[in-house]
Amino acid sequence: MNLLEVNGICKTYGSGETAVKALKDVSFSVPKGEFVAVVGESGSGKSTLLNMIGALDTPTSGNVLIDGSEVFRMNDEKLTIFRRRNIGFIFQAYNLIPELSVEQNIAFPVLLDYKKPDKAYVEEILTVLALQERRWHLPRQLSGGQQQRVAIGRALITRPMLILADEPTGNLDSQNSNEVISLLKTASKRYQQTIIMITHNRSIASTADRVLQVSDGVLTDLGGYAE
Amino acid sequence: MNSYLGLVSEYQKAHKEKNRLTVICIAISVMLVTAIFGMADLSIEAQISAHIRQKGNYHAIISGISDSIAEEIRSRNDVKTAGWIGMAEDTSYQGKELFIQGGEQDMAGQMTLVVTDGAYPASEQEALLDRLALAQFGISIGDTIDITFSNGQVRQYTITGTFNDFSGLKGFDAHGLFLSVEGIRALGTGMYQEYFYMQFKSGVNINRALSEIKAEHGLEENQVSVNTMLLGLMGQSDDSSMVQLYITAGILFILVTMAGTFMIASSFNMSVLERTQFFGLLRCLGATKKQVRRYVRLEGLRYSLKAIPIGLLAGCALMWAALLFLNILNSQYLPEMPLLQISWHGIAAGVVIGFLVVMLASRSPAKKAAKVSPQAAVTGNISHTNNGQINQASNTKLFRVDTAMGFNHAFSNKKSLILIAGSFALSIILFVCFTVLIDFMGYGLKPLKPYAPDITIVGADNTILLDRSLMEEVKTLPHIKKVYARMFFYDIPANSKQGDGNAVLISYDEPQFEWTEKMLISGDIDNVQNGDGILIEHGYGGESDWHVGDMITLRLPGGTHEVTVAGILSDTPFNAENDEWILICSETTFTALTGRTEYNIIDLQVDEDISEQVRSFITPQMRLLDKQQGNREARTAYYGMAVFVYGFLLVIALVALINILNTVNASVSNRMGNYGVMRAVGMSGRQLKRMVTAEAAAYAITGSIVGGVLGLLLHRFIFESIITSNWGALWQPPLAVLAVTIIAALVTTFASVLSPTRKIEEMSIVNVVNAG
Repeated sequence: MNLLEVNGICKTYGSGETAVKALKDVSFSVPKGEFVAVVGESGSGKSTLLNMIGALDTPTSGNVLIDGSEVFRMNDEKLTIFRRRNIGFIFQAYNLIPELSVEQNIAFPVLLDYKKPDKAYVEEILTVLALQERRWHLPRQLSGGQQQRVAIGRALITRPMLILADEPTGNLDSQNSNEVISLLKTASKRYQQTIIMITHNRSIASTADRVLQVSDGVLTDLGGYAE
Repeated sequence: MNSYLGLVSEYQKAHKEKNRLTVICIAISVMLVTAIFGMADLSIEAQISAHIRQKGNYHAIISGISDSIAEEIRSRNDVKTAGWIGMAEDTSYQGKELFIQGGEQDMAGQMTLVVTDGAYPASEQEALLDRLALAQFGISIGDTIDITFSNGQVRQYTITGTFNDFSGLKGFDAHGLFLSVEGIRALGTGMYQEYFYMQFKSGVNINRALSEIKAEHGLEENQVSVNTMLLGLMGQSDDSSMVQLYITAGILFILVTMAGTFMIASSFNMSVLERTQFFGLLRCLGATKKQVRRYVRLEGLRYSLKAIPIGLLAGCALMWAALLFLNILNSQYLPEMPLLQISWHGIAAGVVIGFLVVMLASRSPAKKAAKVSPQAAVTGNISHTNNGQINQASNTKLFRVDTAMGFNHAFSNKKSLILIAGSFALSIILFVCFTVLIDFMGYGLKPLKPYAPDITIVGADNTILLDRSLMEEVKTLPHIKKVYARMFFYDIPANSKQGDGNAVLISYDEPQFEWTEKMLISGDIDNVQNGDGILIEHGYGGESDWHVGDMITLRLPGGTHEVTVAGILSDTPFNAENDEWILICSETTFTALTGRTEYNIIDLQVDEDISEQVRSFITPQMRLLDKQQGNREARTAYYGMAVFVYGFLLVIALVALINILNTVNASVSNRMGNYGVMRAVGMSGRQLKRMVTAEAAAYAITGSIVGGVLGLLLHRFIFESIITSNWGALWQPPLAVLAVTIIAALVTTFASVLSPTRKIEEMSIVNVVNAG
């Protein structure tokens, strides 16, 4: 069964002569547990696509179904809660909350549900991400690699079905990059999660189950990494 | 772009909204300073002109000097005008009191004597007589009158002209004869006192000039006296109560300046700190620390150039609006005051304070900006909050995560907290402290009491009584608002459980009982108005402790009577002489006790001048005290000050309101990036609203507590130095004012959250997140 279905997504910025078509009739589906890499030139529309999937932005036309739910039919409040519980985000610039500690940052989506985080699960994430020693630290006291690991922890805490990662290793050196990717893969395997990740890094893309290429707003399914 | 500094204008063009918030903040503070200082300036000018109108335009009086010394003083460079004014003993003319004065024409003019018809007396046999006297005595200009002086001498004067009405004369049913200097001197030694009135040029240090004059001519301290009020208003008095007032003005000046400074500093601080990353980027691209500092300063300068003129204009407009508003409310009593006045002092204060504060405020963020590490800026390894480093994680155990983060935003950076909560607190302190001026005005310039009469008919002495028919006659006149009368019985030996005493029995009629109700502390007026009880004034300091039900024995000529205290009054319109007990009863009770029915005094409140018609009813044994002009002057003085006091409060309230709105708005705008991330990871609009509200509440509550405590302390200090020291009134905490102020601040804060949170809900998460 497909976890994600993207049907005929178009996104146009501006209108008239200045209109820019960022995405042109993009359709694809991703089954549960698959690790998909999205590659493409800068400005090709990768991030726009990811933002549409995560419902951070709305398409000009088309729809997105996550686990059978059509996300753009939900009102803002419902969508926010859906996103909080079902989608994990990892950004290139980490985007951690500076006033929360490592542990609080990881537990943040659960806290937003006004629930007590599952201590054992938080502990498990901290262990998997090797952040136990840093749990009380604030983001500014961490290295870039550590901050990205916290962001991964935050994306995992609600056991989301889907993890969207926009160049998560863009700001990391190669050792940290490899660590982060292997952590992501381990986690997704362990928790049966679907990952869609934008990357410029060919070796990372080569480890994906499937590669999608976006070029000038058009998506091409490259299948398994073929190079 | 010819220089790297050209980026300043490019950046400002690209970030118009953020730019606008900072400009508004600076403009608001400049507006506050301009409006308050401008109003203070106009208020002092208005008070000076009102004082001059009422008391004359002189700075000092010297007595007991010869003509030659007077000439020497007059010829000093710093003296603008000077001259002799003499006063003779009062006498009477055709049964009316006659005040006799005389002096040099120039100085008489400065003392507000205006010859309305005819000419100023030139010789010792010539005189001016007031306009009413000419009408009442049937005298024309050119006629001759004989005046008998207290030593028996009779002098003849030719009336050469008439002068404007003086409230002092009309209020006593008296008239004024004004002579030339020769005329007053011709009365002979012992018959008059002569004083040398002086007016100095503007800008002269009057106290120093007077010391010089004293030293030069060997004058005694008691020969020279100054016009304390006028010098006080000119800022030149060394009188102790004036010095207290100056200290108060100084404190209020500092408060206004501080409020302006805080507003500018906090907005500038926010605007620069949120762009740490931007400055890091500049450093990364090769800008030196010095260049970054210069950049921030130039930015400040550009803000000033834009915001200060807006602030000045808004300040003047606010001042005009306040004047116009209060003018509409009290148009009939206001002194003549051109509405669209410009106060150069206010404008200068606005420019100087606005410019200096922006330049000073840009120093610290400039330094901070210069310190940003280029590496931190480009790798994104930098705090996203505008408010610098966060040292403590939010307390998510005590509060929900959204509330906890809101508090953390507010409390994590001490400097921002001090600046923002400080500007809240200052608004509250300013408002609370300025309300002392209302009390000051209440004590200093007695507002007209509701029972103040416009016209009073009274016997020439206590033995002359007014028949009730006179009251009925007066009532038939047009333009009468109220007529009320009193009977008095003086010197009644009395006795109560408090011991022996002397009582004055006074009768009231309906309107007076109505006014008295507001002064009733305990008891019931009905038992007095329709029964045989009496009202008594509660004594000050507890020396007379009256209770309802106390019995007082009055030994009246017709026999001994007992009366019962039915009500205690906080105050009466009468001054008790020699600790007399003032007893107020109904006319029926009065007549039953004393057997008398005739009035001692009839008062009228009118809506048009009908003094001439009333005069036609009275006999020569009666006096008509025309207080209309005096009342008008008292009202004018009161409202003249009220305009400014309430104007100050209006301006402060408005500025505080705008400041709170803008601060919350700016604080939210500056954290937009942060909020975007929170939205992306699942924070709902409602949760964001809760977070922003928690942050705003933290500022407002901290500001209210600090402002409340400091405001009360300062209120007490100001109250004691300008009111207790002058009138002995004890300080009471202004809890009602404080409560209203704090509630207003809190409501405004919560209202001000609405618009920015809507903005957050509507923002594009993508743009914010991608902006890093």
